[in-house]
Amino acid sequence: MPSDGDSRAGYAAMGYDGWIGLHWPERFGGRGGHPLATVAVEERFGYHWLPLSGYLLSVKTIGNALLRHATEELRERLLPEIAAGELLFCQGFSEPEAGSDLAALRTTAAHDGDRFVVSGHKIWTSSAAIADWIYLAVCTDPAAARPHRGISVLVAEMRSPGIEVREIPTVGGGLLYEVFLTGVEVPADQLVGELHGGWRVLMSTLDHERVTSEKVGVVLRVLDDLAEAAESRMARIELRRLRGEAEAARLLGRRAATLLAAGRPAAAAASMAKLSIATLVGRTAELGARLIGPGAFVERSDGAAAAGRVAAMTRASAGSTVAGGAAEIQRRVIARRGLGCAA
Amino acid sequence: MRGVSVVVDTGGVEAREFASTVAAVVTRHAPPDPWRPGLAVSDADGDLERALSDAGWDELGGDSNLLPFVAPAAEALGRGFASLQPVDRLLGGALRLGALARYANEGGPLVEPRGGRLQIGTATRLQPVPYTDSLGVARVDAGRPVAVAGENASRRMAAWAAASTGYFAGVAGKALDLALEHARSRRAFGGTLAALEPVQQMLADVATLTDGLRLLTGGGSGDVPGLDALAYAGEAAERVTAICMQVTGALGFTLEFPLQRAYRRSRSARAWADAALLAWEEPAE
Repeated sequence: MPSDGDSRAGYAAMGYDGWIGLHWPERFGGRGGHPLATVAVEERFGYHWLPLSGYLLSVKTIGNALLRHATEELRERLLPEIAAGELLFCQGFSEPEAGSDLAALRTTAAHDGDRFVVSGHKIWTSSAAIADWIYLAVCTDPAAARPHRGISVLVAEMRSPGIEVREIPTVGGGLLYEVFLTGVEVPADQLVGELHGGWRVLMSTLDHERVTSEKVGVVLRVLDDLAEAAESRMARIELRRLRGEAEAARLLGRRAATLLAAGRPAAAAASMAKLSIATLVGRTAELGARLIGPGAFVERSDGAAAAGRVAAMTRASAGSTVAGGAAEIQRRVIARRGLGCAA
Repeated sequence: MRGVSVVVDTGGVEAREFASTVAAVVTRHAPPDPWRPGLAVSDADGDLERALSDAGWDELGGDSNLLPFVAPAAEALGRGFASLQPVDRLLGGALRLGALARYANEGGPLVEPRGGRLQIGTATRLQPVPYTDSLGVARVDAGRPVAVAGENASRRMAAWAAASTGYFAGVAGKALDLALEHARSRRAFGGTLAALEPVQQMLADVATLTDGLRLLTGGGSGDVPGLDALAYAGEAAERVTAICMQVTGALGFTLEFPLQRAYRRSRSARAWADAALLAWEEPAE
């Protein structure tokens, strides 16, 4: 599925043709457009099932977070290259013992004059093998009274000495990676946000990651594919139902994107967007299998039903409720940040 | 707080003002709920109908430019558990599907969607039936119908679909409010239900579904929910009320607590909406 696929050439082509950073300021390589224009373009990328993993990390998630939280110097250095499709990021958040519980991360960054020295182990890192830079969540104050108060965000070049990458194949068809960091030196001016103030940056970054508009396009493409197999009126109603659900997910995503662009609190809205589309991906895959039957799982090949997209979606849907924060975490955010339910 | 209060203002001031007027009308004419299992009950309310007419409701079905007003206004009907009769009036009469009609009157118009047309007939004989909801359901005989096709039929169906979608959004929103209020006040295990993680997980699903439905109404933005939205809205409202029943426990199951109205209405209205969509999808004769 697009969110699992990687293509350095595809990413470069998007940048060359001016599709990256549509709503970013022109001085950072953008086109100064409306944030919803970006959302609409990402939906079309998804509809055409383009390989998007690198784009989603570098642009939609990290690029937007840098735009909001990085220093002017860092933005001038990184964003134009991202917009040109020349610089790819991966994201080093999860660790073997810190996934949903991100505050438990153990990768340390010792502040040493004009640099940080980073050591630790990141996991489930998409696009690490082709990325130029990594966006790192690190612990800079192990003695902090509360763990999340000792976290900072750094960006580092992947070619830095001390970084090693190991590949982890997935059922979705894409690759995840482990990233081992051993005494990696990172210049101090590559800090994003305040020292020990990274929690706010991380949460904001996750908000961007959770607006998965591209998956609305991915689903709509499969629903178009399934129209031919929907021979009965009831099957056509089922397709209508999922189209309606996709429209609701699209509107939830647009709402979250609008809030994020306005700098307004967006955590609950972003989690709603993420939860709605992740659920829809699973439901679409299930309907595809029901309508097509055993042929739904013929993988991409000549004559495959829906060009193998139902098979791919079925495999990938298992991860869509996990990547970017498990569904239970999205629900917790919605209940506590949106509905005001006490912890 | 109704759901998550982060709905972005997308314009449509007039549509929202009209929806507020409808909400005030519904509040003044809060429908009673005499329904009991095994009874044939109609919640149609002449006073409500007249007040809505005075507010301009009847103009909604006849002018495509007013379509963006329909769903937000119907959401107010749903929130108040008002009769669905005003929704059906947008079709031009009582909704008939096969042998059954809802809110039909002897000698009054019956409208049946079929194959992209509306079949308009006259109710000649009515036999009320006990029903799970107060929709005034009856077995009906009808005179020879006249088919309405083309733009007129499509416009009426579009208005009815938008209204029905809005109505589902209102029912779901009210169910969420009831469940949230209960979860915040009911104490268990040393705190409120709302502080319990499993309850929070359920409420989050409900809030996500409900916010999606509310956004589908367009809020007067100019976007109008169509047949796809309607097909989804009924199912989503059912899911919402089922989860809210879990949150409220035994209380939600009682006739004295209003959640059961949302539970019954979402199911009955979805059955009619799905059947209407299926009939509309029939090949034209």
